[in-house]
Amino acid sequence: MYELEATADVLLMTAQAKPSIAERSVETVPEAALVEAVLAGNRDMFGRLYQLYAPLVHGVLLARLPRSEVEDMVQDIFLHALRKLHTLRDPRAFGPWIAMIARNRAMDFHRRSHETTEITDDLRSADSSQSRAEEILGIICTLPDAYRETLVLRLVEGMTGPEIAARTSLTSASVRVNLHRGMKLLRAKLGFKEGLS
Amino acid sequence: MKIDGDYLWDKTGEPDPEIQQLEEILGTLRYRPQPLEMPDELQTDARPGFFSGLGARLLPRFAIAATIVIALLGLGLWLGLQRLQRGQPLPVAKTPDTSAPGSNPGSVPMRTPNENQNQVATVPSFDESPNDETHPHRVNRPLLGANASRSPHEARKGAGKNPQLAINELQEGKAAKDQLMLALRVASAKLNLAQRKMQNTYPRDPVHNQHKLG
Repeated sequence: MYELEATADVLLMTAQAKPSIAERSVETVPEAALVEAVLAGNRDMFGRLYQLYAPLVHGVLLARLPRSEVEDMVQDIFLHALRKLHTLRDPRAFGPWIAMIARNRAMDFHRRSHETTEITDDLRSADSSQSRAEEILGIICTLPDAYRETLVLRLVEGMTGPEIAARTSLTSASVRVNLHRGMKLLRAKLGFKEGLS
Repeated sequence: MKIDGDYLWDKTGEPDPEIQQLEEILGTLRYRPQPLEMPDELQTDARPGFFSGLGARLLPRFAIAATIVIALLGLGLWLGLQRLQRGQPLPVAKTPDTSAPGSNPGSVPMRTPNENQNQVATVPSFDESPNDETHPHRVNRPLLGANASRSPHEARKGAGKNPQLAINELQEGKAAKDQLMLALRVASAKLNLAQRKMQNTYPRDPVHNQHKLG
């Protein structure tokens, strides 16, 4: 257990070392078997990969793109991944690989568009809780890249720190630091003294 | 300062009410599972073929090795053709006789090297003029055939007796050396060209290991 009074940096020092992707065996990484099965021709297994990694891709995109673009792009990215799966050299690295595809797609989107987001009917008609959520998401998106992606995966997609580390191939220490520092910045921006609502 | 403790990290320990509130609000944006719509015609691309996988990395080496082999074969073929064109050496020249003439009276009399020289020097078709500018590297094939098996020592001895023959031999040697050097230069240029082509055709892919985060 970590001490409650410890700071994020101290937590970083006391965190248990987590094996990297390269150190994990194929048996402990089920997606490796799924990738091999898909490459062998079993397309149904790709549906399982989709279920496992769609929240990750959704979170990565949500931290970078307008929400209205995210749903369609998740589908596009998985279809692209299916076509290009043979280029994945290490089947255990499916998560980091598809996360990088999502980041690149988000960058392409911003290159093509001119940073303008139209207010659609969906946004206008959204209820107050939804609009509040999008407002907070907008604040998270003003944070540095490393913090906002980790915070979205944790607070929006509900993933734990170890899950984020495993899916993105970041070290546990990095994810922990990103979470704590990002949360600290978010608290400051939200002004928790006044309350959220 | 309030510490989030383990709850922010792995949702264990004492829950942080502010984080719980954020989770509750932002949870409305969470991914809602939808079936992946895969078109029937969409197929996973085939595994990389030989020329796009391992072969792509080995192909330049194969090409260079093949070029070297072809160049060597060509050189060998060219030298063989040159040798054929020069004609076969005289059969008597295969056994240079070091014994004195007449030492073996019962055997078939053999010609001495000097005799060979004398015979060859009188071949009518041979142009002995060293100042023939129109054919500076003209090959004297009968002479080459006759002298093919002569040792350098014998050639020097013969040259001492017949200076004209020595000049011709020097010219022949120089011509052969020039042709050999030219062939080597051509082979070298071809190798360099092939190497440059392969380096330009298969540049290194800069986005390998793209999944590694900086």
